[in-house]
Amino acid sequence: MKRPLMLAALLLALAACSGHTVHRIEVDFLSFVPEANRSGTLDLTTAQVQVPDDPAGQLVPVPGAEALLEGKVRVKAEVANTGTLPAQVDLEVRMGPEGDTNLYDDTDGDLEAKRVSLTLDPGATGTLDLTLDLAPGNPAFDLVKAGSFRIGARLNLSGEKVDYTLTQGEVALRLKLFNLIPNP
Amino acid sequence: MGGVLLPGPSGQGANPAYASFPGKWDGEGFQVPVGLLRFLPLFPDTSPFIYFTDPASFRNNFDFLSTYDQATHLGSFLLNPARSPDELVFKVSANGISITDGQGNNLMPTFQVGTASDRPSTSIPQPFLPIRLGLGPGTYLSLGPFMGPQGIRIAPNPDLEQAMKDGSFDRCKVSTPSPCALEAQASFISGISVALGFSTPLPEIPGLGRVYAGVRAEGFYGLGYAEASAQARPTFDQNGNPSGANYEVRYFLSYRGGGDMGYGLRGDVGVAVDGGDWAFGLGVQNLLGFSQWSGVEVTVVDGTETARTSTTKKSGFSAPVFTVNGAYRLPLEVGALLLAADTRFGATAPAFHFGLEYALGPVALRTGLGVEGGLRFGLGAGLNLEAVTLDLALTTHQAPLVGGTVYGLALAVGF
Repeated sequence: MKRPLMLAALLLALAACSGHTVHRIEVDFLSFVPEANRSGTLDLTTAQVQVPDDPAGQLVPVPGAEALLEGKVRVKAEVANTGTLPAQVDLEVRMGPEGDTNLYDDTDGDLEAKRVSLTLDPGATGTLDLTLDLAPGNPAFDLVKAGSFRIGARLNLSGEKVDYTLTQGEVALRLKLFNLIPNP
Repeated sequence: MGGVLLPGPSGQGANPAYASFPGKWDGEGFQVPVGLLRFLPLFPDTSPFIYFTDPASFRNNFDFLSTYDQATHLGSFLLNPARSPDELVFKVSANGISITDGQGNNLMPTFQVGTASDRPSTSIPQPFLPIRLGLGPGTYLSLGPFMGPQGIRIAPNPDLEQAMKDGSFDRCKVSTPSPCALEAQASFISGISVALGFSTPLPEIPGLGRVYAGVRAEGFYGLGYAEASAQARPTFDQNGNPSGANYEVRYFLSYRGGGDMGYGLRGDVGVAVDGGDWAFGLGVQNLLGFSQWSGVEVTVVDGTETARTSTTKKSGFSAPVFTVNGAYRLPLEVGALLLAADTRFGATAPAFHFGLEYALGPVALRTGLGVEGGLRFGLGAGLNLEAVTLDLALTTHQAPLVGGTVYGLALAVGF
C-alpha cells in the first residue's frame, strides 16, 4: 500500500509538469538570518568566524537529490578596514560527507568548495563575492547528489580590524522531477 | 458549430423528448474519437504507454498537462495540446513564496473541470457505445458501460490566494493550523447504465407546431467510485519563518472487487417543439434521483494513516441540470442559413454555445462560439452525399492551467 501511495503523491506533484519541465528553487537564506547577526567585527581577539560554530558544519539532507541538474550558491559581504594596518580577508565555503565531524581538517572527505580573498588598505572598503557553481563533474556537486552533505563557511582575518556586513545569501537549485520516476 | 447541441435525437441525453424528434436539424454522424490516436507511442508527449516501451524518452518528453488535455477532448486530435511550462521558479524567502514560470509570470494553481463535490452524484457520464432496444412506439431500453471523472478542482483558499497576491505570508501566521491552504478535489466513477425512456409526439398545436414530450429513468450499477480531497497548509517555526507544510488527504474508495456496492437511479424529463423553420427544447436531467456507494474512507495526515472507516455515501434527492436549446433555419436566395444556440445550467458548471451553418447543396460551412470551462471557437465543413455524410471541424478550447488557445481536428461520419 505504501508504494502505490508514494507513487500517487509523486503523480500529484508532477501534475502540470513534464519531461521538459525544470523546477528552479531559489532560497534567499540571508532573509532568515536576524538583521543583528548579519554584520560584525573581526579583530585581533576574534580573527576567525565559522558559520555555524560547530566544526562539523550544518547537515543538509537533500530528498530527491537524483533530480538535481545543477545548482548555485552565492554569498556577498561588504567589508571595511577600520584598523590602521593593511588587512587580508578570506571567505571559504567547505563541504563534506554526512559522516564527517570536522569540515576544516582535510580528512574524511571534506573539501574546500570555494575561496575568495580581498586585501584592503586602512580605511578602504570592498566586496567579497563568492559564487559556487554546482555542476556535474565538480566534487561539491557529487556531495550534494549523494543525498546528504555537510556545509560550513569560515571568514578569516590577517590584519588588525575589519567590519563586515552580509548583503546576499542565496541558493538556487535546478531540479528535473521526472528523473525521480522509477523504471517500470 | 462550436459545440452547439442541436434539436434532434443526438440531444436525447440532455432532453428525453428528442428521442422521437425528427432528425432534420442534427444531421451529423458518429463523432470519431480521433483523440485516441494521440495515445499511441508515436506521440511521446501524450502517450503514457511510452513509459513501458521507452522509459528514457518518457522521462524527457512526456507531459501530464498535454495528456490530460487530450484525454478530456477525445473527439478532437489536438494539434497543440496545452504544454507544461519549461521552467517553474519557486522563490522562497522569510517574507513569502512566489511561483512563476521562466518568464516571471505568476502561476496561480487554480483549475476546475465539472463540479467537484464531496458526495456522489446521480449525474453519470454518457454511456460509451450503448446497446439500444426498441420496445414499441416511442419506448426504448438502452444499456451501456460508462466511466469518467465527475469533477476535478485545485485552488488556493481565499487566505492563501490573498497572501500570494501580497507576496507576504503574514496573514497565514495568525493561527495554528494556518488559515491558508491549497485545496484539491477529484472524483471518478464507472459502472453500467440502464435507461428506460419514453418519448412521444403530442397533437399539433395550431400556430405553434408539433410538441414532443419525453421522460427517462436511468439506473446504474456501480463498478467503482473514487473521491479524494487534499489540503496542504504551511507551517512556521517560532521565529515565524516557513518550516514546511502539513498535508491532510482524505479519500473514499468503493469498487466491486473489494465487495463494495454502488447504485443509483434518476429521472429526467423534457419537452421540445418543432415549428417547421425553427425548433426549441427544454430538458431537465436528474429532476429526482438518488445514488449511494458503500466503501472505505481513509484519512492520511502527513503520510500517516489516522483513520479508516467503512462508510456509505449518499447523494441528495434532487440536483437538476437544465438544458435549453433552439435552432432557426433562414432560407436565403442561394442556400440556407442555420442559427443555433444552447445553454446548460443548474447543478453543473454553466455552459453556453452559439453557432451558424451555411448550406449550399451537399456542402455546409459552419462556425461557432462557446463558453464551457473557457472560451471555445469552432470552424467546420460538411459533405452530405447520398450514402455517407462526412464532417470535418477545426475545434478550439482554452488550455487548462497555462492559458492560450489549443486547436484540434474533429471528424464525424454518418451513413
